[in-house]
Amino acid sequence: MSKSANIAAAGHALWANTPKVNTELFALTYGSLITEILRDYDQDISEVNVQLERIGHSIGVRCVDELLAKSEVNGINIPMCRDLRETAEVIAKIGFRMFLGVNCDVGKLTDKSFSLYLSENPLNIFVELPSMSEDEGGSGPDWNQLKYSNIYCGVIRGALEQVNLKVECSFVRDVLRGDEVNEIRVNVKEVLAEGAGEDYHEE
Amino acid sequence: MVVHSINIFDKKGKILFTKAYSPVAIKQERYLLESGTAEPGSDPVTEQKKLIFGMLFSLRELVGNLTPEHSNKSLQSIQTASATVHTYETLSGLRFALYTSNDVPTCKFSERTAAGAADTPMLTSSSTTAGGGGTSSALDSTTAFGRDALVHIYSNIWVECVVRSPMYVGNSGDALVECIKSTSFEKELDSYISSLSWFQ
Repeated sequence: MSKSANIAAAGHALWANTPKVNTELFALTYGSLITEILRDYDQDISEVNVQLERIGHSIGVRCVDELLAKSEVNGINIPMCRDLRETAEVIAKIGFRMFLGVNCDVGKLTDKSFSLYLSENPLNIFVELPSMSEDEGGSGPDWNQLKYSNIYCGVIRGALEQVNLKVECSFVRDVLRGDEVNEIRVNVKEVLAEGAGEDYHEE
Repeated sequence: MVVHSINIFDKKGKILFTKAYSPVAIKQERYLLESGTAEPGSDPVTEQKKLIFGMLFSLRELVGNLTPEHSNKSLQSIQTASATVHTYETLSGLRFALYTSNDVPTCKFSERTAAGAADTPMLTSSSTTAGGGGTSSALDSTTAFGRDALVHIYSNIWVECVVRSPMYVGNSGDALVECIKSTSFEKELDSYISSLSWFQ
């Protein structure tokens, strides 16, 4: 139990030491990014979801080193995670808290997967998805398919790739679609082998 | 107190960055290049760097097996009669190796400080250095520490210059070598190392 208290305390300490940006600026910038992507891909929602995930992946790749470096600077030691539960805790309590300042909980933990619950999401504070009117029928885009915060899935995937975990991440519940919490399901596909590259193999 | 050279490897052993600072190291590289008897198609300097990586990799496995459970298993430094290698490895697989002369202590809590080089190679890993912090009176706030310098290089220079660069695509691969060249990493690193009190 003290381990999780340490992790939570680490998250708070790191959040206190990161430079902050205005939440509204952040949310509105993200919103305009989404609008731009929608325009670029001609309202093709599934393609937009894919692009958001790809953008998130590039961000996630940088997050790991950032988190490790910031914790070294602040004298916090993040040890190597020995099981998936610790990995999930670090992502939820330190990662989300340090980068976004939000509370995130871990749940539904199995050997190969876990869920992250976000009760507050800074990206969608001003957002509401347009509803489908009956007479439009199938002509307009199906807004319910839009995973507004899909960027998080990409971030988690990119970050875990840097530490040898290949995962698949998706949003299963979204506040914008009417659920009470945002839930991201993370499935571990593969633990990549850690070893020297080809140059070092003996013949 | 001399810094000889610095090497940075990724988790697969690819040489991401290497630079020699002291005249001794530069002369040694030149000597290797001229008289290298390596197989055709490979460069003797690269071969030497790969040997360094191989050594660090194998020693890390060894240290991991020898360290008691729940303790920090990291290799901190390797000391031979002529030089010390300070090493730092991040959880993301990045490995830093700094070669210095023998009178640079590795980190604040290392017992073996400036204690005259032995004839035999000596390893320090973090589990063997008991909490003897501040025992030596020769240590004060300006004493430089090899591993702490590496931690600083990682946290402040690597992350600031390389990770935040738009060209960064992940912590291994050829693209990363190009990315490093396109940032001001080398310049920042040079100015940091020359600003260290123990650099000559």
